[in-house]
Amino acid sequence: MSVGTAGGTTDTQRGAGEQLREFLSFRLGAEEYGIEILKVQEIRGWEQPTVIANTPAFIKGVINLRGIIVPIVDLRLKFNLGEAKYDEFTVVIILSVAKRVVGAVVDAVSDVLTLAPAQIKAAPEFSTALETQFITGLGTVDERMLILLDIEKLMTSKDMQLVDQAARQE
Amino acid sequence: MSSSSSGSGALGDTSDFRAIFFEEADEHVAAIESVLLRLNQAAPDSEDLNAIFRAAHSIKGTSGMLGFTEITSVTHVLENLLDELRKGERVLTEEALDLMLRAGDMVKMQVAFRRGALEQAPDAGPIERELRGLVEREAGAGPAPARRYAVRLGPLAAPIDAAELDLMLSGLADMGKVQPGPMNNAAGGEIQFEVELSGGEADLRSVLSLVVPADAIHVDKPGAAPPAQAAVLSKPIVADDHGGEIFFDPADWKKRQKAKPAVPGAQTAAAEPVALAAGSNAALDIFVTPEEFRARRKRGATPEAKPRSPGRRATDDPSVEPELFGRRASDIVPSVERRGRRDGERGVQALAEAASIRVGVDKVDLLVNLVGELVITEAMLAQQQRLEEGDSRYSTGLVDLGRHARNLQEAVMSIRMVPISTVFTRFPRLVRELSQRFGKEVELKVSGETTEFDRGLIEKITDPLTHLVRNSIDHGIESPAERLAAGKPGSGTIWLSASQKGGSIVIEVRDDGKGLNRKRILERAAERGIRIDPNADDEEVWQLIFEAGFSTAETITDVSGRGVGMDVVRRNIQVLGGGKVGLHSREGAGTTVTVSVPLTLAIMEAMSVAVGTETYVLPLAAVIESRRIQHGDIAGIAGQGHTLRVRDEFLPVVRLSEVFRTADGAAAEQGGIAVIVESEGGKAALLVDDLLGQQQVVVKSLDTNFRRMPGVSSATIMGDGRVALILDLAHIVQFAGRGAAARH
Repeated sequence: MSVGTAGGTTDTQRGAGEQLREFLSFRLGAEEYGIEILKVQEIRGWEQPTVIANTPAFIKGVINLRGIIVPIVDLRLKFNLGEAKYDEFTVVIILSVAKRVVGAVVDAVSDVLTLAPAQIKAAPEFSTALETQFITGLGTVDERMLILLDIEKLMTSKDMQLVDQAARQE
Repeated sequence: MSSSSSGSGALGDTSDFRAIFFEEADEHVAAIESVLLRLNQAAPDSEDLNAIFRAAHSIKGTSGMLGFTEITSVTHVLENLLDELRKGERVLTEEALDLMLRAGDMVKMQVAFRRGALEQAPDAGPIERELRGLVEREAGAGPAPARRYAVRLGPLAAPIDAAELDLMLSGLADMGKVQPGPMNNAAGGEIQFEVELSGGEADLRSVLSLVVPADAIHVDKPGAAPPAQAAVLSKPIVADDHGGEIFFDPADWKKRQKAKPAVPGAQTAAAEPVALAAGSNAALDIFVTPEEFRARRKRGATPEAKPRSPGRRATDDPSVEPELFGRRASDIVPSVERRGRRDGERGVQALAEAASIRVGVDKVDLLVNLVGELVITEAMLAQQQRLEEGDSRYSTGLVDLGRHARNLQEAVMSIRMVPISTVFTRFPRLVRELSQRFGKEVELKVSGETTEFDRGLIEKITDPLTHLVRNSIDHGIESPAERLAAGKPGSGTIWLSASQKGGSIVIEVRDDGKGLNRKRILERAAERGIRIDPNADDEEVWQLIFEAGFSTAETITDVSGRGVGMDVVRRNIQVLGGGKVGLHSREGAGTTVTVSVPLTLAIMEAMSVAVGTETYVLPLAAVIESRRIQHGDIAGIAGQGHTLRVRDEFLPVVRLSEVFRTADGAAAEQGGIAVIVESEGGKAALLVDDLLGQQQVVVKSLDTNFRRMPGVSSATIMGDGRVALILDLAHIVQFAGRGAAARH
């Protein structure tokens, strides 16, 4: 079991050593991704967010999560993966990254997998929907292959437009 | 972990201690500063000096323990100086006062550095040298010679309250030596004692006059006490008319003074021993705290409280005793309060502090959030209920739930409220320094400092207020010579007051200076090409100084000013939930600036509007009116911009559906509604589809988890649980104004 809280994950990633790590796996297009379970706050069903004008299409808006205003991004739209349908089966992963709470829409959430260090390989240069800079490695469980994501880096990246960048327009 | 080794080993992980120390040190420094500023330089109150001494001592002790040697070093010298002052071995000079204030600043910076808020370690060398220099320079001069006075109080019109008498005597014992004489504390009686003081007769009289009318005070210059009296000294007896006798032992007062907790200001008043007169004619003094007192009252007379010798043994009789104690209780408790008032706010604050706990702001914010949710959930349930017309027990329950939820919300919001004294406390220092710098005499009078407002506003309101006070000193108050020539007292006055009016806190900065110069303002307006009717009334003329670039420094006075003008003050106030700035001035008589801001930024009076399928929220303070649009109301200019004529004004039209690109964009012009708003950017007409209502909304920041968006100031959660955006009208109106200007 890994110790440490959401904030301390960088340590757990680097110095994982003998520790087993848990990942939440989800599907996006044809690929299966895994993110550090400690970054996941909860999983919710889809609800129509309040639209914010003049934002890219993949930013769906903001929702009220028990009194907290949380932005929702649709990763399917962001990475041009398939059709973005919204129904009762659409899931939103509420993430806790960089002291922020954000929601991410994915195709489906599969399960929580425990990986031993031996099951994690460095990411080779290969083509995925996501840039390699956000990929920390590849995990294998039985016949499945999991692309392990640095979700914090992804969500706070300039591309996502979720965080005020230094040169923000005012 | 302490970065320096001394003492940290024993404590192990000191991070908790350090956090506590940082907070306490800040409080102590603030206490030192506020006490220093209210000190009467000619006759400093010894209790005040003690309070500062204890504060400095406390910082010194803890910083030493944590290994913050540089802080220990400064407070050590400060403590030396204070020690001499409180013992009366040194006169309080302006220089000493300044040095102590600066030492306080230094400690503040040192603490900030240790906390990591400052990048560079402040250099305490100069201030330490100066302090040490002062301490050493006059160390050889020796203490002021103590003078001996024989005091006779009486004939008394009425007996003096025993507790007050004790307080007075212990106060004197603090200042020097007291030798009690015959004390006949009864109507027509006299109280005699001798004191040895380093202070003058005036000091002595001022202390005495706290309990005895001035005409009953007789102070005889140094001289030997009559021999007859000396005999009595060994056995001083006071008979008060209630049959009680009190014995005052100066040595004992000293002891009690020392035994006081080393925490400044706080606690001391609550724990202040109060003399309790129990029937006795033997040497017997009983000091109890109010708590002890109450406890004793419950369990009856304790052995010590019983008289040791016969006399009027009131306390021996159980039936009489409660009454006696009852009377005493009412006598003593108010006298503690009286003392608190007399000592400035010290006592009151002490009592308040003892009954409070320190809670992190994040915890309070969490509470606010949760309660907000509760209220929304309740609203949803109530709506459901109305739809379904259910069981009456449910509806009664729901009504109760609603009431409780709202009461809870109110109570939780009140936790965020702090008295405005937290802002006002910095002004005595500012006024002192600025008036010195400008060579003016200014007295600051503060009132209404207990008015409460949201702690989130503290920072935001401090700068504008500082600017206003600075303006008053710089431009308002004249030099003493000018004032005298104008037939005014040489010393000017600035009044700083706060009061609550409805949902707003109104802060007034008033001075009795020379007021605004109408002629100069009009001249300056002409220079800047601002057209104004020369016969316009004063109110209109004063509004000009709020124009951008209309620097008061250049126009109203010739004193070279620095920094920002009134336009910035107004803008900074306006962004606070639609705050307002008003100004009244009479030439020669002074200027009053009134600042009005909402009590809290967490809750806002709002109007919600529908645009397409979306709901937007406008701050109600900015809404002037709304009107249904008739055919032909809106005039297009060459197919580009549009204006709406409202009475004599042409207002730029903002189609919210265009700004926010809502789904069914084209809000119908006819049958649509124009909401006329005013913001710092001017007026504009916002086109919306419908008005949904007015309500209080809980303001939520959008950039906590997301980022700032142009045109949106924040968000809120509506009754149906959905998020609605609160519009940044300043941005939207400015945008409209720019657009309109570009089109012309």
